[in-house]
Amino acid sequence: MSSPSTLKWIDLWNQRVHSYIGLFLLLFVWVYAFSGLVLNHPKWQFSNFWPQRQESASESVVRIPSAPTDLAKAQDLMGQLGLSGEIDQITAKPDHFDFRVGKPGQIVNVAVDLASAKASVKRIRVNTWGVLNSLHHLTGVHADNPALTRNGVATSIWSFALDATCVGMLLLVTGGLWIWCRRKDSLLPGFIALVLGLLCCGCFVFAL
Amino acid sequence: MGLSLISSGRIYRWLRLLHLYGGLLVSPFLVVFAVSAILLNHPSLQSSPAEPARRQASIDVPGGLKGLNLAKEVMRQTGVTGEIDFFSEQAQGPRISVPVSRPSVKITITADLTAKTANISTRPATFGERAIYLHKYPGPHVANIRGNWVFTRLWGVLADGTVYLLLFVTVTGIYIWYIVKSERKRGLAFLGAGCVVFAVVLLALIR
Repeated sequence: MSSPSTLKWIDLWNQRVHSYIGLFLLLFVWVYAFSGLVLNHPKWQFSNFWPQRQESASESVVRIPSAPTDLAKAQDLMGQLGLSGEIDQITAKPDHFDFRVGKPGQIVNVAVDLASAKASVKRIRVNTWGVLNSLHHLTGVHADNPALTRNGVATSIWSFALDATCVGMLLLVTGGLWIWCRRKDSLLPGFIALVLGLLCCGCFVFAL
Repeated sequence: MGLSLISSGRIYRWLRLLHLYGGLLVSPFLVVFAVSAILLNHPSLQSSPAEPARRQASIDVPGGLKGLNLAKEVMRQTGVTGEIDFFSEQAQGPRISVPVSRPSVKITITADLTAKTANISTRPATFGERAIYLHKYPGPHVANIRGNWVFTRLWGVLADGTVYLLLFVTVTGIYIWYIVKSERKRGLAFLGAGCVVFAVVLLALIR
């Protein structure tokens, strides 16, 4: 293949890949973008989901598990109580074993009395805005308890989707830069737009 | 690639240019948000923080100040600028701790108003920490004091702008793809596949 043909082939496939990645990741990008916008405006009343949460409580008799780790105990109890989600808090005391399970739209606090083998289950359900809020920062990484690793299957899948979306965005940026470089008529205005973005962003990253 | 007969050439050309220039303008912000999101998802990728530098300063804070006003006065007298991360509205001393941050540094001022001294600990941030800071701020927490530094408010505006521009770029991208007849089938396949994957993952999460 001669050089101009190779470049044309690269142009064609770069444009296609740029288009296909963008289309595939569309919903993921929209969810992250829109939920990020809402997270940055906690004073917006229409998205204020917490006051509209629904709480319910129940009690169940459980079998106290003899698992080797607190996480395994919590997972055993989750199974007994029919719960699913990501365990993000565990408090193990001599007479009490408490943990919290979360998934988009629902938080469940479980307090197990080890003496009576009774579990008090408090559920908090939130609306669509709460689901969006949760989707934005659901990674399975627990900043206040780094020892508690990602433990939900669905969380791991969503975490992978987050990685894929980010890598996809970086590929879109790279592909877009190539498309711009190959359009001679757009070089100058494109350069101005790019430099403007770099200066604005760069000031915050490097100068403040 | 063949063009659909129904497409308006001028609209297509303009939207294509706006997609290109909008994308170029927003791309540095997208890189910061994407990289920081990966680091938030995988904290082990972050490099170790540097050791903080410490210094002392003399302060003389007028009586009667409390809350954010007190924190800002202490910052002014110690020559510290940045966003106050949190501070109780009722705090009035004599011992206070003011956590301040900027993208490039994390600062803690521990002041004894009676002894009129302040210890300032300044820790420079790694590149990853800067990106994560910009990803998270202004954010939803401590909404009543968030944006107490002008550059936090300005970054909030830029973050909003990034979202709006990104949404515009995606919508124009859909139009640009759809107009080209020869790309519709393949594009629809990728769009459909992405929607199915999204729906399946979301259902698995919330079920």
